[in-house]
Amino acid sequence: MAVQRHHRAVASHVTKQNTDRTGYRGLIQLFICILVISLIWTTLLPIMGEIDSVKAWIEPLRTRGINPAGMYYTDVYER
Amino acid sequence: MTNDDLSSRENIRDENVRNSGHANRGRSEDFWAITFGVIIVSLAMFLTWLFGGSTVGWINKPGEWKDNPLASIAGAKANVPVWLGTTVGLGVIGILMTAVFASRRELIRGIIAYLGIASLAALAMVMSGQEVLKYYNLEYVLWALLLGWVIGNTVGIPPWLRPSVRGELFIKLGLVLLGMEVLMGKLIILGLPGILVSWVVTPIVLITTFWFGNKILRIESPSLTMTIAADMSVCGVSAAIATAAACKAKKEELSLAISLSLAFTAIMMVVMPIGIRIIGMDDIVGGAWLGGTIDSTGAVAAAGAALGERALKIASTVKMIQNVLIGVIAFSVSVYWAATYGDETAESKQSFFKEVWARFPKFVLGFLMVSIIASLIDATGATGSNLVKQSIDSVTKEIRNWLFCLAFVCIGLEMRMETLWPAMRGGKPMILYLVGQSLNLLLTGAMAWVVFGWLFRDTIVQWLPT
Repeated sequence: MAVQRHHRAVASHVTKQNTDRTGYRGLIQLFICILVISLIWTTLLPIMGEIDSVKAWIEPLRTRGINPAGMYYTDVYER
Repeated sequence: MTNDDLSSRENIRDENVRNSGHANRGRSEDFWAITFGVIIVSLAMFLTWLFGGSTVGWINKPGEWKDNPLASIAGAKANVPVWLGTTVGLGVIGILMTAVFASRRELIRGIIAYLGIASLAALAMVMSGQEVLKYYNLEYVLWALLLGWVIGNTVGIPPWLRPSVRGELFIKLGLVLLGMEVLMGKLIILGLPGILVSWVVTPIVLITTFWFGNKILRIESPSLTMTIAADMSVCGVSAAIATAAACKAKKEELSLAISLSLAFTAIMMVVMPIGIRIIGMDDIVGGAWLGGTIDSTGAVAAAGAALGERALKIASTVKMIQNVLIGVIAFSVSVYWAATYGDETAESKQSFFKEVWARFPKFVLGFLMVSIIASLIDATGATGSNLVKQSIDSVTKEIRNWLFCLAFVCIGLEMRMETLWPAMRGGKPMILYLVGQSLNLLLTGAMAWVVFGWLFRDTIVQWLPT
């Protein structure tokens, strides 16, 4: 009985240590992902929007009010 | 009967119960989806009837922006600030969800969790509003998936968020609302030519692709094959969502099918109009070809616009007719799946129809019911048609978009890459998509040439002079 209790305590301790380590690593990974996403959306994409060929694709669609990201026919024209 | 037999039967029954959506305490997801769907549609029609066009902007989502994300919520639509419309949209869903949380006796925890999921959905909508992504057809579902996936695969799903991770319920409710937009009357807009291109080729491509995936490529999961076949042959993301729900595909399978579809759509949308010009194809046939082949509806309009005004009209109309096919496909797939791939249990040896009914995803009935009612009202004349159109534009369409966004945040949170690898083995899903799309291009091109370029050409030229 005492041995079983000891094993359970050791297992619980190890699991807690692993969870802490995974949690710490997970937080760093999450922070890096947020940083990359923020950089892409606030820096890279606006720069891409300035490229002439991209502008030439976007402008006529914007003028006509067409939403290429429309999922269904009711989403296509923006008013 | 041994203890092992009993335990095994218990496990099978538990599995069946989970599959039929009764796993959680309280009512099933199908029940909530149909009930909430009917409430939202009724309210939308009543408010539109009462206030007319002034309901525009009451429910909204973040708009377009270039370099400042805050610009997406800064504007106004019909004098209603976007941030307010966004809050109302998510708030309506939140209010309905309190009934689910209350039935599970976790009202406060549920509301807090919903606020978390709703914030992620709002962020995904803001991300999708970036102009480059928006105009290259990279829809909000992708960014909702990304956000959920990043959190789920780094720190895991926080326990406080779990009560609101209800991806299937959001999808089912979104599909019931989508029924409002499946108006049968839209079929007659382009008449026989459109129906021949959309309704003859599409089922042939769908069935052939499904057969090819199962029998030739031997993809292990039939639901993955069906979801890819449907999103490629019908109308992209919306068809993938409807079919995946009808054949109970895994969330990873749905995500894979959608990612494939969005990637190829972004390429086809730009390349196809250029190709049509290079080979000197006429804009009428070219428009029909675009409408029948490019997956996503918005991308069809963008590609059609690149060819000219007449091609834009033909492409959009062919796609619209194909969009309406989504109801028939979802219903047929759910019946076929219930009859073919349902769970066999020792207890369920009853008549064939009872079996099919037991396995049938009931929310599909809500979807069909809403579609039939909206189609009937739409057919009553200008007043009815206007009522349906305004209800869709100002209420149900926006709530449907929010529901799909919430669903994909939840799917992303629960998605594990390790469960996706076996399905992707040997690049089979990609091969399936490429083979199916090649067949689609070939058959639709031939049908568009016969129908739009030859049989009905004079009628179309009269209807749409240059």
